[in-house]
Amino acid sequence: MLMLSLSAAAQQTTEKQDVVTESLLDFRGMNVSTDVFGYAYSILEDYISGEASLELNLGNKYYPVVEVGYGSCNFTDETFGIHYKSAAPYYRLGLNYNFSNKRGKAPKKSYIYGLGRFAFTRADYDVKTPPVTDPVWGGESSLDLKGVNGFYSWIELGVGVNVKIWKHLRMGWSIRYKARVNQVTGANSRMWYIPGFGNSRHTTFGGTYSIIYDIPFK
Amino acid sequence: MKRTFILLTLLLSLFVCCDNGGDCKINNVSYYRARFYTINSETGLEEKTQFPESINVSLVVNGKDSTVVNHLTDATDLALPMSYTASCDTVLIEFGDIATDTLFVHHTNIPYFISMDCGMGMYHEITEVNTNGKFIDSVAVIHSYINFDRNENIKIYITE
Repeated sequence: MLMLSLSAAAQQTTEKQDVVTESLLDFRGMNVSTDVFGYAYSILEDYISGEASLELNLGNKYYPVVEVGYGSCNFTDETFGIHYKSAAPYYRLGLNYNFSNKRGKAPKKSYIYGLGRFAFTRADYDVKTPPVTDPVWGGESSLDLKGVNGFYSWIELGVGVNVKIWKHLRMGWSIRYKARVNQVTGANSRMWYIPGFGNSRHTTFGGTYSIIYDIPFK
Repeated sequence: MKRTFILLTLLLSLFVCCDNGGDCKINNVSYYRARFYTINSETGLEEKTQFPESINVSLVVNGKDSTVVNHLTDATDLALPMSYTASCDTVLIEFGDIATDTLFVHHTNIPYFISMDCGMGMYHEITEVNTNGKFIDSVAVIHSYINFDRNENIKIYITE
């Protein structure tokens, strides 16, 4: 009897936990999107990037996201005459949090969200610098590096808007503050262009403008 | 929701203030820093020291002479540039009228791409320092890598 009642109690607890878990992480759908801002950015800068993402909808509140992109740069600086070339994929993992939807109420078609990401890239790059003159004794020195391996990781925090356009089609934008977590530098250089991040600084801002397709689920 | 949005905006504003940008320096020249010490004969411990008399410092590289410190009084330390191309710099230190000592600073040169904004800098690594030992007793290398950080790189021990 004691064993049976214990077993029943345990079962009840498990069922309760399942109910709570399901209400928090209830799968409501998924979407895929592509960022068009990276392509447009190549008009302003000498680098271009494109990315695609997959997002899950859990309870119309939490949206785990995977973003995969590819960035490329082939740039010669006019001031110093330095040439830098790099192309590599980058990866982001994170979560969007829907500020607009309330529990127990119908989800809104358009919403504001906060976002957090951890991102990283491993990129090979080439750097060529013109000769630099020793200001004390004269003499020159220069660099011509090829295939230097660099690693860079960062976090992103930001806000975004997601708007329903037509049927399963959505559009959205996000503004992101990016901060370096770690970088691996070479013996004679450090990464200047970081795919998915931008120019090498400790912090920077970025943005996305995405076209989103909701994958229909019954 | 409004409260969360305001909090997030404030958090972002806070982070904006934290960017310290690049590491650009004038001429992108890195200096190595040498400090003068004596050994206390009673305790056997090293003590920082300074020279009330003036000192002159000249650097000789590949036969070229360049005066970098002229009549410096109460000197406790020196910040000296290194040659971009030579592997050994000769440092002549004149301690007033007392003595002129010589340091032979052996080093490797490390051209370093910093960024597009700052260009290329020259870093170095000290491999060995010798002295002819008239007034300077000995030299110890404590930070061999020389970049734009303001580390003390070598200790120069003076005879009392």
